[in-house]
Amino acid sequence: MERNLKYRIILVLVVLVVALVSLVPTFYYDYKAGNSKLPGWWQNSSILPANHLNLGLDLQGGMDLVVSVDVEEALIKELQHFRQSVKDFFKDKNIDYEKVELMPKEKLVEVTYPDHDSMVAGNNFIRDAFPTFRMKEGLNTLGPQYGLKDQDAAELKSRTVEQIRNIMARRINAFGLQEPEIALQGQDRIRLQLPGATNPERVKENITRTAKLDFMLVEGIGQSKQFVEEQTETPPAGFTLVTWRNPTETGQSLQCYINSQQLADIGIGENAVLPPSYRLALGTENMEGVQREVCYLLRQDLAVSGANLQDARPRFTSDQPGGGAVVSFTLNTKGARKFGKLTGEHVGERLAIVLEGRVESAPNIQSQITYRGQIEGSFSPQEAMDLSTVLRSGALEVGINIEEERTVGASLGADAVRNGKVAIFWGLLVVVVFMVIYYHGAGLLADMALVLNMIFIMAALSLLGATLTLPGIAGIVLTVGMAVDANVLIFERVREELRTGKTPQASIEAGYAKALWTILDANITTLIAALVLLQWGTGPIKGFAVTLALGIVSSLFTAIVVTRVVYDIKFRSKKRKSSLSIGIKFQPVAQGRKR
Amino acid sequence: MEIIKPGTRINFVKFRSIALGVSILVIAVSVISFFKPGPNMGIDFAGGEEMEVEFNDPIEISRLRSAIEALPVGDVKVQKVGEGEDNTYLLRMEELKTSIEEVDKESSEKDSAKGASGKTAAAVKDKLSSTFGDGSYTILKTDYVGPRVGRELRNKGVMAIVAAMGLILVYITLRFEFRYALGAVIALVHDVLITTGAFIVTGREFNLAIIAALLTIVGYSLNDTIVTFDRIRENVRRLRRVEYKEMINISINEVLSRTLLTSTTTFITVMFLFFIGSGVIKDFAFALLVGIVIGTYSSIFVASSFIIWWEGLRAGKRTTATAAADKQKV
Repeated sequence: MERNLKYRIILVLVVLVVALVSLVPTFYYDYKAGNSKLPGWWQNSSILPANHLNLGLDLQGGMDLVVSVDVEEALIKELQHFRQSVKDFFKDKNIDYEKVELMPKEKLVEVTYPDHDSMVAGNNFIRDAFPTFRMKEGLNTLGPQYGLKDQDAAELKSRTVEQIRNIMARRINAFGLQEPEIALQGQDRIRLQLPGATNPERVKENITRTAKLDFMLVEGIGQSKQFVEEQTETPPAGFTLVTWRNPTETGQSLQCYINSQQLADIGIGENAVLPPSYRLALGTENMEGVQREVCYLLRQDLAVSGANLQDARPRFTSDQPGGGAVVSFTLNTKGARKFGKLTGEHVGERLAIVLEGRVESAPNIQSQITYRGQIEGSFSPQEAMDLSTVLRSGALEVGINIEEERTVGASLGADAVRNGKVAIFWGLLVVVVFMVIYYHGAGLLADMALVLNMIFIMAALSLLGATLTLPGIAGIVLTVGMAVDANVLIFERVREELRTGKTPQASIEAGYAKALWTILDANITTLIAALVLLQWGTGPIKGFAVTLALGIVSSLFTAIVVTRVVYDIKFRSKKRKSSLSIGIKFQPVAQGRKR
Repeated sequence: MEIIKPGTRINFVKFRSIALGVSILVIAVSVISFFKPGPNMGIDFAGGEEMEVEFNDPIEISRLRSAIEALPVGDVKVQKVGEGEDNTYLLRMEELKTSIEEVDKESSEKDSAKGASGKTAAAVKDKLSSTFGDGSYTILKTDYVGPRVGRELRNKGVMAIVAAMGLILVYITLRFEFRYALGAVIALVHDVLITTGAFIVTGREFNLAIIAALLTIVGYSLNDTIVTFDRIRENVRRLRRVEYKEMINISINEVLSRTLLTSTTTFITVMFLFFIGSGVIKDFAFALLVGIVIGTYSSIFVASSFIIWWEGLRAGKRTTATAAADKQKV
């Protein structure tokens, strides 16, 4: 017992110290300014916790948005492409067919053949040329129906959602919000949590418009001023600083060091602000095997919009050295005319693919391109897949629906925090006083446990990186009321034992032992409810479940371990063995001593 | 201090028939209220748009109401929030409708969802600016829930409560016995039904936070019930000579002090939440307050009454009244 006590004291102290230390970042965090005022040595330390208590959007103000992506539409587009390709290829290969029809409801394409031979030829061809498609209905008839393989259909859907998420993330980043979170939710939804977003209409407009993709000539190359300053102090030799002012409201302006020679070629001088026909854009480029952030000087006025792009696909060919992949794309008539002019006049130069203001790739123009073109490079299949996804996003017209939106102004959130603090304070005060009146010394001990509980809950929230929400505050208030329950159960038991005439020490021991399973049973069931809530709930409700669950666990710890340690320490001294303040008079008959 | 003196023997068991009658009556009222007046579904479940607007200067609510009602936004509710000094109002609307959607209902569900959120809020803002002047108000909060999400949240909410009860049934069966589990779950259903009824009768709005409150009540009420059951289980061994009903009554009395104490401290803290909080939190606290009272009542009267009734059934079958008590499993 004695040796055991030593370890329990150490455990309690360790938990307390960890809890207090983990609360330090919260006290040094300026929630208004959104930055930490921790001293540098703390921030640089790798052991000390850096997480401050996160406030939910309902407390700090901001926007919580759930959008769904119409993945069915993406599927239909894929089928339309398949239908067109089948028609084109059949004509090419002289395979007879009567008609090729899209069945949008069934998500199938039906090919009607005139006879058995052409059906076999057609089947074989489709099997070889379209590995992601297979015959789904109409086996052994002249009108078989083809559809995407289940796995490929699922992949297409998830890729579409992922792609839209990336585009949204890029646009949201342009807003310069603190810690925006953009996560996939379920199969076809994206949840955007944007603390501090003040203009919901503008955010929504920005994330729901279609992606902007452009092809622009590369006129010069260099590095961004910011990048140079982070790497070295001195600007690189042979490079000149130029400035580009972003004309759009939300966009960021840029300053880059661009190759002086290239600048001179197009007549742009030192420290110049770029004329409107040029722009700067960042991108990454593979230089001698290393991915490096580079800045491109682009010709803006000759740009061809990606909206003219009809389709882009990765193609895996054996002609390429190393069995690499290429990306082939097709353009509409208008696009073909403009693209043909641009590429025809600038063979040998580089053409940048600019998605949402960032250069995704900048291949060399090898020959004039009109309706069909292909981008070659030493692409891995994955890279080719990604690039074709980027290209397609210019024509991305998959519908985006707003499913849920919650915007809270900062003032309302601040009010809620203030009210929450007041409710917690008064609740605590009343319970603390009540416990002392009812249980005297033991009540004081339960109060200490209660205060520890508050510290532990806050500490655990910070450590876990969980978020405190308005219902979360309600959960804490509820915990204030319920946390004393475990102690009440123990004290009532102890009182019962005292009444049977046991000594205080024996009563404490029996009381804790007998109450233990009652407490566990009662709390585990509440914990079940909290965990169900955690599993099911979203946003604020999750915050409530988290604080409720933490409150239960921490109240178990304080009641069963912490208060017990205090009693065990007390009973180590012989003098105090016969006294116990628990709010009732008792006569320890077994020892025959009076208090 | 001792509120309940040791050796207190209030004969709760004697009142169980009356309690049964009262419970059935209140549950009946609750169930009827489900149909008429029916639950007041918040936008979380019904879908729609809700905005909280604060005006710089006092305005007439009727002017605000007629301004919003002039918009094609379906059913409109305008409500003052907070004390007399605050010029804050809650506007609740369905979605902005255009004439095309009225005609083609089938295809409109998708289209209306697409832009409804932004458009409704924007339309309301325009209207407020033109009626009360630009900059005379601040939008504190905007909530929009699409019809699809509303449906999902509703189903999931009910699922969550059912799942919680199912898991609890399993846990208590493992730790106690099946009849205890059944008694506890019946008490829970009782509590949830009555709290829901109280919510409907007082015209409060159902939303996500209320589902959370109901689940909390499930957990809380169970706390009380388990403490009582735990004592009954203990006394089955200890008080073999005592008649079953009497034994149950003794058990209830023995834990009464604790039951009342915990309920009191919890009730008081939640009361602060109720008086200080506003909006959703106030309703949330209201549900908890009702739940705490009902939960305490049900753990004394409903759950243990069920055990007695079940025991009576079993004893009746065997036609030996005392045999049952001896065969109690522990």
